Amino acid sequence: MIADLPGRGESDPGLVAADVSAASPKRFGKGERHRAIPETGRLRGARRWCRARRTPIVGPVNQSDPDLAQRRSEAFETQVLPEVDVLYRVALNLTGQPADAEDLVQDALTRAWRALDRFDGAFPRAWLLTILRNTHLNRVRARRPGLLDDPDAGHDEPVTMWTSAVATSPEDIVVGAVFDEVVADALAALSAVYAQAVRLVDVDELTYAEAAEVLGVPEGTVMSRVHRGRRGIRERLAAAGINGPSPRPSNAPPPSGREQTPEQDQDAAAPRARWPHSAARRERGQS
Amino acid sequence: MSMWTRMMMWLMGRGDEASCAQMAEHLDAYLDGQVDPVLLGRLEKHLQACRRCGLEVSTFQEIKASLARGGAKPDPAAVRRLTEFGRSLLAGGTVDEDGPPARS
Repeated sequence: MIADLPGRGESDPGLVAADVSAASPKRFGKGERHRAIPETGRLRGARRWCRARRTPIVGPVNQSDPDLAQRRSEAFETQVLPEVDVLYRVALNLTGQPADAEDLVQDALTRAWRALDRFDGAFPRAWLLTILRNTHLNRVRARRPGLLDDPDAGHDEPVTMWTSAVATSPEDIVVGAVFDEVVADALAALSAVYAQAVRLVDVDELTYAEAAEVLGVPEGTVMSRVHRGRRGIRERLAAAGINGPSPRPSNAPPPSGREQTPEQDQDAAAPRARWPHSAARRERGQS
Repeated sequence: MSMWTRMMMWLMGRGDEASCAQMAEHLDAYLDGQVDPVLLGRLEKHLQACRRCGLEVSTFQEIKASLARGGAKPDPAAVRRLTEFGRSLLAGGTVDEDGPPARS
């Protein structure tokens, strides 16, 4: 009965590999399960299923078909053009030069227009950011070959808790007129790897996944870099002298609904050394 | 947090509250709004009760807000030019110096 089903016949040329595997007692090894069948080039198993479901939004290109061209234009208009703003901001971040950034986005848009037929329609921003990154790398390599061999070496260390060399209690940092300038200086003084991650996440407001697409690193690496970058900024704020006992600024949100008032907490925190902040406060009080 | 503290918190109905260590671990994701709703509820419960973590979070929120304010604002004219460029791709279709778009 099974042999009568269509596609099971021995004469079907598309299923040569399946017949071979059915004839031999050995199933596929662990690594070769998802590899393409050499004779036909088809993928096996789950990966084949996934690929089959990822239908392109446009389908195969046929320039003579006006309907497909129309769909292509609509896809570009609805999925790509709204992201131009984000692309330009990220390009500014990558290149640092407005003119360069504009060229880069133009290149990326041209590439996106060409590659639109291979785009599956999910997550257009991530797709565009990947294109932007590849375009940027190509441009930089064309300009200065050999420069981008290993830009991230030695920078990725595991995230630790409150890695603050200069322990500063949060209320010591003044939010004033100079605050923005000092933060900008601190960001500029950061190592480029961390500064770029912080800029992508905080200034360009990308998610970690999107920033990971831009940087070409895993999401966890982005989180680690953002973590270290922010703490670096904070250390520099402390080093720049923006500390010392000062009242809370009026524009900062008050600590609402907490159990203790600051006056009570000053006394309550003193005998406990669980937290680096309280330890630092006691040290300052003694010195 | 000691077992005794945990038990007292459980008796006070604060059993599912996040600890300071968890707050520290998820601080960045919390700032960027990228924690899942369950953890978010636990962290906010903790922030209601813990002054130090609250101050820590508000400090980093200030830094984040300052970075967002201080970032170079993209030139609207450039964005408009780029959008025009995209539309020209749409309209012209295949015209650019590299030749027609590759067919897949």
